[in-house]
Amino acid sequence: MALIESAAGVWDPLIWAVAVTIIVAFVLVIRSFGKSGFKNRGDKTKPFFSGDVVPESPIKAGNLYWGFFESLKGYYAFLERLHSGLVNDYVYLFVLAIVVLLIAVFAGELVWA
Amino acid sequence: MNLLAHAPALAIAIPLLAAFAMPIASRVCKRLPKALSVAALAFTELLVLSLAAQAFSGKTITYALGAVSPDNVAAAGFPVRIILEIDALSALFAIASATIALLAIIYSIKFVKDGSKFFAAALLMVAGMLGMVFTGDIFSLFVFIELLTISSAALIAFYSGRGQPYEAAFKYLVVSSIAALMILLSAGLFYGQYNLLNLAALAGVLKFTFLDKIALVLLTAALAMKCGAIPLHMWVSDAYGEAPASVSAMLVVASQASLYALFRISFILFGKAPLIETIAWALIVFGVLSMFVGVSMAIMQKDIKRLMAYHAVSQTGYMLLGAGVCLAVINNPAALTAFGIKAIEGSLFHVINHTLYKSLLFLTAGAVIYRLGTRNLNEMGGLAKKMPWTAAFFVIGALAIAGLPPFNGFASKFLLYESVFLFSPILSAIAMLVSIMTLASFVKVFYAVFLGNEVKTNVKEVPLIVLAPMALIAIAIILFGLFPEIVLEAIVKPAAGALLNQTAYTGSVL
Repeated sequence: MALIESAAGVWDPLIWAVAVTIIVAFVLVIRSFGKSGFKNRGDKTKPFFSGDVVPESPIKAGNLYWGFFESLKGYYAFLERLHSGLVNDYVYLFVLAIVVLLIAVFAGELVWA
Repeated sequence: MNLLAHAPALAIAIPLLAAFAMPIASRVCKRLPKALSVAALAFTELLVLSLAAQAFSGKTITYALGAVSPDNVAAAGFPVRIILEIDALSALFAIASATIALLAIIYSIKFVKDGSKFFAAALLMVAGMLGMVFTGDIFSLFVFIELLTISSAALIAFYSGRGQPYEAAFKYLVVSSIAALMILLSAGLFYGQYNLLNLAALAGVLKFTFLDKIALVLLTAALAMKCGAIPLHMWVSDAYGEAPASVSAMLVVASQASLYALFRISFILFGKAPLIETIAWALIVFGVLSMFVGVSMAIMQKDIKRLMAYHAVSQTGYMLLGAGVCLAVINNPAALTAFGIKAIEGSLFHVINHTLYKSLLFLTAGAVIYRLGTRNLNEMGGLAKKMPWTAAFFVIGALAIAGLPPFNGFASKFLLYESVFLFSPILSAIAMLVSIMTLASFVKVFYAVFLGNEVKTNVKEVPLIVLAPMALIAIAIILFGLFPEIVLEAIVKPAAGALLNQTAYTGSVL
């Protein structure tokens, strides 16, 4: 009932769910061996910043994945230029897509022939 | 009168009539427009389900508007009237449209104060969507796209306190009108050559002339723009971002209706054309660009609605990729059997799954915006304890869209990854990479909205009437993920069969 067959394999979510349940049960058993008197406070709960000063203001969504964006600066600069927000540009792109498709259809006819 | 015999026409007529009854209803009682909208959409849903039950059993339902008998579709030997044609493929998209519209309208009841205009436009939108997926001719497709465009634009501009919704609605109107005009021009090109507008009849006589190829290109570009494929997607982030959350959810299914038209025209009208490989590759390129650029843009967004809008573009890419791969091998029986059919099944299953999780995500975003009064992720935080149900629904939607097992998104992506891999391993690898980036993007949203410090102390969970539609969608996501085979056998495989069996579609009219 839950099994699906792809072009190259099978997927059964119920077997997956059983496997996850067993793993979670193991995790809970291991967790139960922990110290019952653990206090969740003090320096041990602070984030580790490799020796740097921990910023006082909370890290916002805009700060996340900084390295990813920094390393792909050129790609993102291109994408930002493309997304100008001008409706004229939207229409230019539509016309461009039609031209490219027309060329592809008529040139493709020669290739597939 | 046998009501079910007229179900195809009634499914479009009831929301249409209810929309025009709204001004009168609002005069009678302020709450009546809300009750009337829900009642009209619930009845429409029942009609669609009854049609779908017949269509999924393998029957193609035809309905001739204006004929003495509605089943008299080709009285003169060829179709002359407006003919509605419902097979399993139309039924799949119709169920998605009607169900999400009903849930979105229930969700809206709490947010919309004096709602006769809102509900009238929403009902017109539903009539447009159902008309698009039911119609059997290309001119009516243009008419229903226009109906959908005008009503959607009105809803996008609904929050008129700021300028941005007007700007978004204007952009949507310009882009959609150009797309609709291209469809009208294509209809003219077909009518001028063959004296026909009916898709089934056209499929039988098409000679793939120079003008047919022009029409094909115009239709492909116009419908790709309407379904938000990159690089024609620019309106999506504006429209989805500025519209009320429930309207964004309805816009998701509206885009799917355009995807339906693109699939129908590519497979039924041009499935046997010598140039089909070119169109297949065009869909694949649209798909890959949409997946990758969509998620790249999403991950950098700080506005929660715009972020989700770019993810909608990205997910549309998966559907286009699956359809493109199937279309590329449609005239190669060995490849079609080996992976082509699985690719289109994955694509159509992804349509259902995307409809569910994307709608859920937009509705959770709407709940958060309703309580915090901002869409900026940098100004959110700490809502997990204050809004636990919304947080739970968001997590379900986020894990589903990222394609994590056992949620529904994984089941359809699994079919797509493996079938596309047999066609081109690189394309499959890109699809997997996009899923990883999707997960990263939603980890960012979950962190920003639900974890960290509380930005507002007096926040509480949204009311039950707002939670209920989200809960129903979340349950469907889990069930579709745990029992994908049931959905595949009952809905997806008949729909894929209807798309691939050109003879059944044309034979029901001619």
